[in-house]
Amino acid sequence: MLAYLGRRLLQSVAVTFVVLSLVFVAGRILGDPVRLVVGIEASEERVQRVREQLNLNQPLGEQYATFIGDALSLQFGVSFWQKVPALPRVLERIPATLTLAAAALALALPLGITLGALSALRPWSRVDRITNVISLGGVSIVEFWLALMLILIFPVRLGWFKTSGYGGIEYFVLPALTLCYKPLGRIAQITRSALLDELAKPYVKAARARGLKERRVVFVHALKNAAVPVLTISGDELAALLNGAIIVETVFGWPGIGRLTIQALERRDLPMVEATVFVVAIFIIVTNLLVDMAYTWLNPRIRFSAAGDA
Amino acid sequence: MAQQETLLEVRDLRVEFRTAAGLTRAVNGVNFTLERGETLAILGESGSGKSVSAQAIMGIVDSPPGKITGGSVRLQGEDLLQLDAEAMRQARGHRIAMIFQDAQAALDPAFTVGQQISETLRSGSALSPQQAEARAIDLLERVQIPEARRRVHDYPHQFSGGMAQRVMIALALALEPEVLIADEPTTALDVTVQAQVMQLLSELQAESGMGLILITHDLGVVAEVADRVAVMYAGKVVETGPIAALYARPGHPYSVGLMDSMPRVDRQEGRLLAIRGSPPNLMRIPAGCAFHPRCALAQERCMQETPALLPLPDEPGRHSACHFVADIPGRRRSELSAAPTGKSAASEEPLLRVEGLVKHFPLRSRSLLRRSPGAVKAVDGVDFELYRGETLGLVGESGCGKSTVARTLLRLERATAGRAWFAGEDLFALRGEALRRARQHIQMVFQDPYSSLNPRMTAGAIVAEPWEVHEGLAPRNEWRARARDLLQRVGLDPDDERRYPHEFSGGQRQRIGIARALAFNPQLMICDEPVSALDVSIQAQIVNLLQDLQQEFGIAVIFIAHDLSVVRHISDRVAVMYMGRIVETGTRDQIYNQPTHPYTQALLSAVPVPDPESELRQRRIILEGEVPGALDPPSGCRFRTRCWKAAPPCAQEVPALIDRFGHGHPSACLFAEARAPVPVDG
Ligand SMILES: Nc1ncnc2c1ncn2[C@@H]1O[C@H](COP(=O)(O)OP(=O)(O)OP(=O)(O)O)[C@@H](O)[C@H]1O
Ligand code: SF4
Ligand code: SF4
Ligand SMILES: [Mg+2]
Repeated sequence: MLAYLGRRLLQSVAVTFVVLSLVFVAGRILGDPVRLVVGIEASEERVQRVREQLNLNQPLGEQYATFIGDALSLQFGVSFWQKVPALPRVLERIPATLTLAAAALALALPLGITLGALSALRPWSRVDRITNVISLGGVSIVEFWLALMLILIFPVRLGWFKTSGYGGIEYFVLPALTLCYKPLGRIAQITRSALLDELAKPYVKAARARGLKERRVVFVHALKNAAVPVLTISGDELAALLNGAIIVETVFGWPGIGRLTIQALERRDLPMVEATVFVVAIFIIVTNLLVDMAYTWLNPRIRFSAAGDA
Repeated sequence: MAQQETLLEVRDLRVEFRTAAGLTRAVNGVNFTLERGETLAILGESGSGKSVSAQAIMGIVDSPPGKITGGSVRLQGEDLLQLDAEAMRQARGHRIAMIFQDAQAALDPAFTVGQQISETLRSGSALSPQQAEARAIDLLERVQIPEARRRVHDYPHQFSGGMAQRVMIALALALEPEVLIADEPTTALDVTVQAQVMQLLSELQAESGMGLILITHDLGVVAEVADRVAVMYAGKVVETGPIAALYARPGHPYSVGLMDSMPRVDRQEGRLLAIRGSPPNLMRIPAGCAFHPRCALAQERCMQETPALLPLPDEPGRHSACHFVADIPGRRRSELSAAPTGKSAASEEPLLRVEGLVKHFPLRSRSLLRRSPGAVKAVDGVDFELYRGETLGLVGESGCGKSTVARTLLRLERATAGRAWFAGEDLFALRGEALRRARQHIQMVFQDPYSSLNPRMTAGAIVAEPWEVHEGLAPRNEWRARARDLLQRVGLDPDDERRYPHEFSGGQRQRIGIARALAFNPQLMICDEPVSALDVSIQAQIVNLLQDLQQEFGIAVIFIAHDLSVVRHISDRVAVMYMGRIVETGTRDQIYNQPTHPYTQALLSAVPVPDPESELRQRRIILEGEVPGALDPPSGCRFRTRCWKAAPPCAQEVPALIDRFGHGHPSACLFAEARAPVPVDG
């Protein structure tokens, strides 16, 4: 099992390198970053200064080495906009985004699994059809629109919660609700189909034949086996939440990474953009690693094939 | 069975499935009783409703689409069908338990076997987790799982098929049920392991006095262990009675057919007697007696009036559902039989000679840093010869390398070492046009007729396809006529040329596969388990067909099978494989009458004989353990880990396949000696 996790860790390191390289390529090769930063009308002198500052006068290979070296020592340079090192600024914003993502997932996971399980237990029933409508809505809805609707209904009509800003629970509810609907829909759908698959398997019939309670057969045996695809989706959704945060944080004025990214892009703050991309990528990689670890617990065959291989 | 106590009484049980395709009446009136300590076998072709009946008794039919529409199931007087869901749940496991065909799939892969046993125990009584685990270990020991204390923490996938079935048995026995239903408990296992599991079941039953319902389509297994039999056809019990009497004098035309279509390891009539036709579609069960379209005794009345299951006069304890029961004795066997056939004499020059064939599959290491960890030695030095018009039976348990031999000869795999001469040419060196020609001359018939036929082509197009690929085999304007002719030769209707594979039954599809192979005009046909996916009654038809065609066309056949009985019927010579090597080879009579290798002897004695009075039972050799992994085979003789004759030299010396007795009957055992486990009757 350790060998398996070790291998996954190595893969993650490789992925990190790929991400860094992409950031580098995107920032340097596709167009002149200096012009991007200073604007087209800036003086030649200013251009030269920024070029120096960004190390853009060296050959590409050296630039790359410097960039990777800096990134590994977590130096993304000084933000043009805020005139302070970029990374600490990005890290500051993490708690806000993470609380939002965690809240959204904490809502979506139990609700999605419950809805999916309800559907799977009575396929094609009325409950199933209603659940399907709900989850289909989640999968296909545009978050921007949902956010506006929620604002219209709650703060504007009913005077509940706050439309924008950071602070207590009243600021928190609407962005979390907006963000949770999409993962909820997907989790419900995947739970339904995975559970239906499992319930048709012989071990379920055999578990019933042993006189186990139906609750136990479904929620302990079938659900543990169905958890593998559900978990995969939840990992993906967590990654998507970090991206979804861009829209939701902007709409609700939530001071998280998403809003910071937009602001940095507007101000053409290259170091800041690089730092946000890097941090988000690391998050996604860590999430995947956690999901992998959970797999080994859920599926003993992974655990043992990996152990035998070591 | 000292005192009679009826445990289970099933009356007129009916189950239907309502699906989009229509209404399937899977069970249409099943009647039987089970006494304490008794073993009742339920016998019948695939789809006859055996499993559905068992699940209905257990109350675990999938619903929807299934529904129990009538009847009663009395367990010690109490009708289970009247119980509410919770009371029925408490009866399951406690009073009536069940084991399944594929034990590996019937265990939850995500929990250890110990967790699953403990959970079952604790669902029934207030045990602490420690007590439950101790009980679980006891149970595993009782089903003879070595090192139970350690293995209780293993997951199902860490057990072999035979061991997993033992775990399943332990689970079923956990709550000490009165009745155990075993649904094809050994069908998925190798012959030698089958015998171990059946023996265990019988022992446990004798110990606990429970009633055992054994569902199977293997008449041999039934004869070995059952006290009474219920024969099912199209969802109905058509005959019941004590085993000896029923086997000696079957009391229903369908039972007569079943007995006669069963290949037997202790007999070698030239032809198997087949039941004509195929089992009915349960959506359109024939009116009157459902068997009438296939029955040789059928008359007008059979098409109108459904026969009831009535006691047979003068035969205590026997029932049969046939209007013309009185006509059955005397019409047995001869009625459907055909004259045995002889073999054409083998010619001089072998058509195929294989020398030192080796095929290793290197294991790909999954980590980049490590070297390849070794190779699976699937075939490890195989030699044999095959003459024109001859049939060689290649037998052995699953995984012994039989199919790999076939695939290397077809050049679907590249041999690791060794040579083969086909019609005088070096088969492994052929390329280009010569290879194409050899491929045309060597044809394969596969086990699974479903996957080997293109579902989008009609039967006629499938049969004609070879002529398109190999020009010059047949002129285009004759294709249609020839395809129709071939379909007829393999026992199909020429008009079937327009139907698609899914419109045929399994046996009919296998016929299409054979017709297609014949279209190549082959010299050698390799049949890889061609009948093992089919029902006994259909098996017999296909084996007979192959035999006829071979005679007619003078084709040489390699017939690969794990079933020794089938091989006996069709083969001139037999080669027995174990772990990638041939351990013994000889003429059919040499192998079956005087096997010299301990493995052959064990295999032969493990085959259940469908005759309750056969004396073979006493001479049974039950092998210990299962086949070791092919990655790291035992040193010396590979069979030594399971051989009852193994001695120290066996671990050092690899026994060569040599003719130790000087009558053309080579054996790879250092202590080879003839033993006749199977007396030939008649
Ligand atoms: N869940 C289901 N839905 C629809 N039809 C079913 C279902 N289960 C079984 N059947 C049908 O019931 C009939 C009887 O099946 P059953 O499994 O009892 O056969 P069997 O005698 O056990 O055969 P085998 O020897 O192949 O196990 C078949 O026609 C099958 O298609
Ligand atoms: S009732 Fe008629 S058709 Fe049915 S088995 Fe008897 S003779 Fe044959
Ligand atoms: S060589 Fe030894 S181990 Fe092998 S079969 Fe003969 S007696 Fe058994
Ligand atoms: Mg079945």
